[in-house]
Amino acid sequence: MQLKSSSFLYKVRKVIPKIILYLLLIDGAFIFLYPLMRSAITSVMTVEDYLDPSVNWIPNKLNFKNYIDVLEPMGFFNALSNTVKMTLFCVLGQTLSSALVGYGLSRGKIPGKEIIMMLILATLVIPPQTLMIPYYILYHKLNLLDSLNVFIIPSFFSSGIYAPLCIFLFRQVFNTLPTELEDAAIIDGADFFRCFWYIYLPLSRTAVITVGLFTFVWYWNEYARGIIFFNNIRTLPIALSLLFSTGPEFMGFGYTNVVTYPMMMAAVMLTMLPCLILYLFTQRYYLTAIEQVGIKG
Amino acid sequence: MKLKSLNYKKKNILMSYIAISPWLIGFAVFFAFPLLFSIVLSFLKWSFNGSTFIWLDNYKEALFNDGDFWYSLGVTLGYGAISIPFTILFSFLLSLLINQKVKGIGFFRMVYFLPVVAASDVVVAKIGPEIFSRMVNVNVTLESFGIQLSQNMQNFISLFSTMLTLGLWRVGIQMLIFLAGLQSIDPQVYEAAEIDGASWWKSLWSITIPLLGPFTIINIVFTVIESFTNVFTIARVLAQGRSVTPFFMDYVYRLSFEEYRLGYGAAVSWIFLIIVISVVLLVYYYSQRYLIPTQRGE
Repeated sequence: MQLKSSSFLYKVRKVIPKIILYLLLIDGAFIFLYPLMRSAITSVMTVEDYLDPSVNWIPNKLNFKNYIDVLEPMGFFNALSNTVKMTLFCVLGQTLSSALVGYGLSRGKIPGKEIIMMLILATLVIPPQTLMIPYYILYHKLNLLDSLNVFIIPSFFSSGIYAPLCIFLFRQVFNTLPTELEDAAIIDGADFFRCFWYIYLPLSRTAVITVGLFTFVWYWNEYARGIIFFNNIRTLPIALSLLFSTGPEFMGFGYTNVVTYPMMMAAVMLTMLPCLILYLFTQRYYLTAIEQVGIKG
Repeated sequence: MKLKSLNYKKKNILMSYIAISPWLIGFAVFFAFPLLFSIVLSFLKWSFNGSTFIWLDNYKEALFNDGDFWYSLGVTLGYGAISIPFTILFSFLLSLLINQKVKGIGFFRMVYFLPVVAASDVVVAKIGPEIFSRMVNVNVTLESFGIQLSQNMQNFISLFSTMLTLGLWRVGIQMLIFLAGLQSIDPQVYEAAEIDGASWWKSLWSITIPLLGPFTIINIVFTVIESFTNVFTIARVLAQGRSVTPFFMDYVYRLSFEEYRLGYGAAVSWIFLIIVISVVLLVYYYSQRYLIPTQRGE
């Protein structure tokens, strides 16, 4: 009896922290998901449901018409095709070029390659907006303004969004692979680039996928540079930012008109959905990115 | 044989220069050149049909005659001073939570990181005001304490508090950096501490936080850069071009791409660049002394 009660107590003492932990975790998950759930629900509401204070989470009527109605004012298909084109080319460019540069900095015998790596990382500290003005003039002179090339070309020269981080990740991953592989291949007559293409790149598949996925999200969501360089081209974030931007102003924010708010949320969902779906299926690459870099300080 | 290996080394060096050549070209064309160009621009009275050198006049104008400059600089630095500690603390607490080894933790990690991927600046700015103002409305709270503020001040506070909440919503990267740090700590250290009778709280302060030192520095540097340079997008979409946001980058943007005062804009952004770099360097050097000796060499 004595034994039993103490083991019961022991169990209780083990279980209670777990319950508290789960409560905290679920609480956190709710806070993080709340805005997204809210907009997902609002996107299928009718305006009446949205304005009805008694309707909180469950709309009286599912109204998927919002999604169809918003396509036209948003210029959805045009924006989608621009975004897809830009994102895919940039993912290709950024992944290839940063893998190559990372390989050169890892396996090459360049003097001072550590310093070069530091320099590459140091470029992150420069606020990108300082470079915007010269870019603008440069692209103006090169007649590149208002074309997707302003994003695609730099990405092939490892100057895309957060390219230093991609290079760093590749270098770290290549550094962990044994050099014996390379030695063996060189004896068999493979040169530097064959080693890269046939041995190192396939072996660091995870890094390739990670960089590709992050780059996808960065370019898909790119906005700040887009509004400077594009006049007529609309990508999804730009189209979204311009959508129904004539609502009333309140508290210094430009609010969307109440009537168009559910449609706006539908547009938000449409913009977000590809990244969301991609993330749901490939989340482990995103979540292990930092482990792959293996920062120690 | 020796000759051959020498040859091999030379070839390797040549090949690796070719391998990093995309970056060399990119660095020259898309980084070094624009950077130098913007220094030159900052000394110019610029226009599309011809410019004249006025040397430091742009800087003098900004530093001594431009109230907007100081205002937006102050707001941006103030925003950083408030948001950075909050972000670091919040992401640290979250990383403690998701470091627990319990069933289903993968799901929670996935959810906590989700906003970073799904919610871009524009998305955040579109869904933010409606939703976050329901959760926290500082103005209403202040009013309930009997504090009445002018309309401008209220606008300012609601922008500020919304931006803060939005920032905290997207701390995924910082959280993962802390998580990597937590997982790099050898569990045996905790076991030893427990045998010596250290409480959870005590090991948090004496083991976890000191050992996380380098990760905290990375996080602070990352957050400094983020909060000084990237907030402007959200603010801009929030305001929808209607009202002028007080953030520094928005000020530079207005100068350069709405008023086309490119020379002056370049000068102003150079002042900001120097400030950001000094802050990063200060953080870096001052934080070194809080590291335990073994972490310093790395």
